[in-house]
Amino acid sequence: MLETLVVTILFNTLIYTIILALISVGLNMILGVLKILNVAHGAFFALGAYTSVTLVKIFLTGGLPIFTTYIALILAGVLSGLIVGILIEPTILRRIYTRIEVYQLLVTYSLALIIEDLIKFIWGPEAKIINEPYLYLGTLNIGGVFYPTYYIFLIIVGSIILFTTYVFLNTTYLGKIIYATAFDKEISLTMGVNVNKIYTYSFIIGTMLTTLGGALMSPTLSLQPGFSSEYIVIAFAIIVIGGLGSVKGAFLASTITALARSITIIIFPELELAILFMIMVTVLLIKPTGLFGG
Amino acid sequence: MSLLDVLNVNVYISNIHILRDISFILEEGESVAIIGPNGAGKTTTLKTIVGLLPLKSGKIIFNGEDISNLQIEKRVEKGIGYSPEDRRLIPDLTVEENILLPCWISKLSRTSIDNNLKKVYEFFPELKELKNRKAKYLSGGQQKIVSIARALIKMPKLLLLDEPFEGLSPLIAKRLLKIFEQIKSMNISMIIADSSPTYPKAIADKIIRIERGEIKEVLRHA
Repeated sequence: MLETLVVTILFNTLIYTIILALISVGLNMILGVLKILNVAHGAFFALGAYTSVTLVKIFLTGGLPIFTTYIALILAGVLSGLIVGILIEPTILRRIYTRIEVYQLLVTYSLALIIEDLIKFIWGPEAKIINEPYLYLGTLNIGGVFYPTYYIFLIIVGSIILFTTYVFLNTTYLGKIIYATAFDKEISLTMGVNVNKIYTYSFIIGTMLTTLGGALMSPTLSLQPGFSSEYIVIAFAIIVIGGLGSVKGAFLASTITALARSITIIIFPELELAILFMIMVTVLLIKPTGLFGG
Repeated sequence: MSLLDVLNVNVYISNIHILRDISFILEEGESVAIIGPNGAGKTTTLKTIVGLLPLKSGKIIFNGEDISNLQIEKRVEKGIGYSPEDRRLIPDLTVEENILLPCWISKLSRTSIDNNLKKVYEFFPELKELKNRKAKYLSGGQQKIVSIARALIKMPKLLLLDEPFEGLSPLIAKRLLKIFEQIKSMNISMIIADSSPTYPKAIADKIIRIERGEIKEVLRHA
């Protein structure tokens, strides 16, 4: 009994960590480099999920075997992130970097509403389900508990994406230039960094992480307009816990939050969200800058 | 031909008139010291030349080209190196990464970068020993040296040094002067901003005394 309970908690923690980390690492990266709290981040998550619905359907109706739908999911995440990043950063966000935070919040909130309506316009208001990739893999017995094998796929692919992002940011020249720009924009300019380009790259990477999260989660969800708001609220709490702008902090806070949620869901399911905000308030009282913040 | 012409430059920060009709000329290979008390406009002058502050009026001509409205990264590409007063290293990068960062974005070849790094380590041998140490673990003096090395790494035509001697022991400051002599012998021009003329006068060909954003006196030196 205890063994089953531990396995359940650990497995749920892993799944939830990966999804929350994909959303919140991207959100925190955008905040850290561009210094913008992107309220539209949740809408990007939804866009990744809806794009995957279309791509999976195209793959299946095109007669491609079901296993190729996993490629369709990743492709949907990458493409939607890339398109959103290229379109939004240079045309809209670049014009508001020097404006006050309230103005930035209003603009990104408006963007979120526009994207949500565009989703309704393109995909319709009714629920969308693409469970073929989810059902195809069947279930797996882990410590006496049956889990959809799709979650193992999600954990592996999500971990690879996060690990690659970590390696990219910490070991490549471009990653270090992004870090330098996030730390000190002015001095980066005097070193010859084209800060506008770095902002675009960072926004694309941050957005792509969340669209990939949405695409990977889509086979496990019934997609309805506005479904992403739950995730974005949690992501905001996570970046506060981890420290505003800290990529490492976002990952650690995702793990803590996922573990707390997995335990709470079993013991007091009604307090699922409350536990998250209790952690946030506690961190704010003890270390207002978050676990890895300034 | 002069390397830098600063012509009737006026700069405002938040509607406050900081630089008032500043004009001076810097010849190729020449060194200029801008001397004045805190708030005189020394840092603003350097920031304006590198492009961190916009001009209200006037012109900046660098190497025969009007750079008054040129983006900062383009000015840097044309050969302007800048070492700020407060060092501003990237704390989690190593000493060598901090020095090399400007090269990662430049069009310099691998060989040129290696040669420049070798040259920088010849100027500042202590940095070679510290090359793998993260910048946040350096003393203030060491950080100052790294900041100068970073500005020098692409071997610019013009080096802007804001208070380079600040916080350095007299021994290190004198050694830095000798390094500046060597840099000058490589035909790299320098503008050194300092609140005291003690060290800069040993290297400067020209001393510009600035007060409340106005040039009060230009003295030919050496």
